[in-house]
Amino acid sequence: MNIYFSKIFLCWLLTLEALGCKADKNAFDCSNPTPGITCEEGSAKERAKKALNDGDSPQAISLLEAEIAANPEAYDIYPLLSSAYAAEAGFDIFEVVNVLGSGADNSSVFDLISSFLPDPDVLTAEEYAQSLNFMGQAKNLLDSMPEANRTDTGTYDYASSAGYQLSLYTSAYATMYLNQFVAIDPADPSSIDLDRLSEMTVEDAEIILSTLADAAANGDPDSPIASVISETIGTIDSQEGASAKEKLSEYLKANH
Amino acid sequence: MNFRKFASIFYFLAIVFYSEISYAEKTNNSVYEDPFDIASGGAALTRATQSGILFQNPAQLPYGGKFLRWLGLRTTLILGKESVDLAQSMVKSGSSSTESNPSAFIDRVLNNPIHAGSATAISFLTNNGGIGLFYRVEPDIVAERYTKTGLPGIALTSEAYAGGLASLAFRTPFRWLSLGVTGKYLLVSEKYLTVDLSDMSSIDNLAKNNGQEESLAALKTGIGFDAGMLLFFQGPWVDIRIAAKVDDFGDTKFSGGGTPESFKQTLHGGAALTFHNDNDAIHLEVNERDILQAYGEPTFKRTYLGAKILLRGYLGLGAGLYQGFPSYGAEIDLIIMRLTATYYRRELSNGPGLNSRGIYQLSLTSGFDF
Repeated sequence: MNIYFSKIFLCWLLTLEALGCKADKNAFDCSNPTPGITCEEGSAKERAKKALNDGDSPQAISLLEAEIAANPEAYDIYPLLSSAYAAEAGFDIFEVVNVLGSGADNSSVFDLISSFLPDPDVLTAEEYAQSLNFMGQAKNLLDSMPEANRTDTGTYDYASSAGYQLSLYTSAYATMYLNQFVAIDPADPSSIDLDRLSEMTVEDAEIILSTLADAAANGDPDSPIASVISETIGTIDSQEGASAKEKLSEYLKANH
Repeated sequence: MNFRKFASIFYFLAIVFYSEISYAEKTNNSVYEDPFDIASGGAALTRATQSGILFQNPAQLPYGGKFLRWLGLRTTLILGKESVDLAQSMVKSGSSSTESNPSAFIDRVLNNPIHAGSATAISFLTNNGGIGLFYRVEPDIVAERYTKTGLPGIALTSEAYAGGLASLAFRTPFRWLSLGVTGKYLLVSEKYLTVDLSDMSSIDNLAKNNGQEESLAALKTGIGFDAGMLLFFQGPWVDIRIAAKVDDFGDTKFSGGGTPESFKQTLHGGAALTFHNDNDAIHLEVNERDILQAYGEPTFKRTYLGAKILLRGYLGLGAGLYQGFPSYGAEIDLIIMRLTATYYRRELSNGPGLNSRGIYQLSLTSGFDF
């Protein structure tokens, strides 16, 4: 009789197997539907968060863009979509751990933020332009939020993160923009490549400096990054030169 | 790199507390589930194990055969599968690899939540009633590269429950129908704290609010009532059971303010088939909890499907679908003690597989089956 019941139990296990009961697979999962069972998905925000943590930023962007298109005032989603854009731009804050471990001397805000941004010397011009575009989308999306929704007053639990990310991504955009014109001189590793630097126009320099100023203005004035940015802008302003390009060039030559 | 720049980097990376603590929502799960019932898919409204009867459905009590049913203590150790995997991988790789490859270490920590806890239940059951005391503590910590607000952070979920229960049950003049009620005194703490990258103003907010926030260890107390019914049609080889239960009748309200303010009234239903002889049985059951969706959870989180095979009272095997995830386990009676091992997966979000935890439970029971 024990064998009889064991056979019934074995049939039960085989039934579970037929229902798709693989170890740790959920029978209601839409990504791998089980016959006869109506699958279920979580909210777009939950799915996007998981996609981001799994490294699938395009999927996260697709989900969140659709969600915002359907509900433009769902401002709690904006910071997460913005971080997805930044991830697609190649922004990886955990890279700073490797930089600290390498002992590299980050003497300016540009060096600091560059440590977790894509390297223009590694990417093609098109790839870097695309990354820059995504970083621009990251900052512009947060900038489009009402100020009350990105100011930490205790009303919205996402507001502090939105404000912090806006300051961070604005700085990152300025740095990425600048890095198009900054490279190490192959003949002298202690200097920057002046030929590359000369490609920067006055308009480019003004965009970089105005974006940096926005980064300082948007963030919490008491935050460390805001103080570092303000200090950097002050140092650039104090350089010799008639135009923004000249001042910025002098600053870069002095700090590389 | 000068000190100021280093300090800037440090603060930039500083993980600070939000000035606001939010609270985890109660789910349809009972505050305590017997490990063997969990192994059997968590479906136990018609047939639960020992102390589990008081929590699942007191109307089961009159169908136990003898007047005195059970006196004993069950202690359970709870370990997350990902925590065990993390510990194993760190032991294998050794400390030197952490120093030489910090980013790999961070990736490993980010992908493996730490989930652990313990539970104990002591109970005395008869055919018409029972009393029990219990506690369950089950914290969960996970570091995420992206939290719901898009920044890296750590999420701490803390569930702590304790209390006492007293149940009364009786068969009605219809021998196939029994009714039962349970009165319970609960101590509850459910907390969800997000530790996130943010700016320095949050530190100031926390310092200003210091002492006004409730500590993570604060427990709320409340008195509640459950009521259950069981239809039991017994045959020579096959039994049919149908159960219904109301948890937290009229809502169980907690004192102390804040959240959780209360446990909502929920309605559960279950049906089962049992194939048996005099000594052995195989029990197949399906439960749907919170039928009226008081907590607004999706269907998969409220559905439990399972089977128990019980051989001569010495060996029990369980398998099923716990919230859609496979669960399994075994229980062996060594006369002076019982050992139970269970594995299941629990979903913390509202989407299958979006934020789940594999959980091992190892349980030791000492007691008397009369």
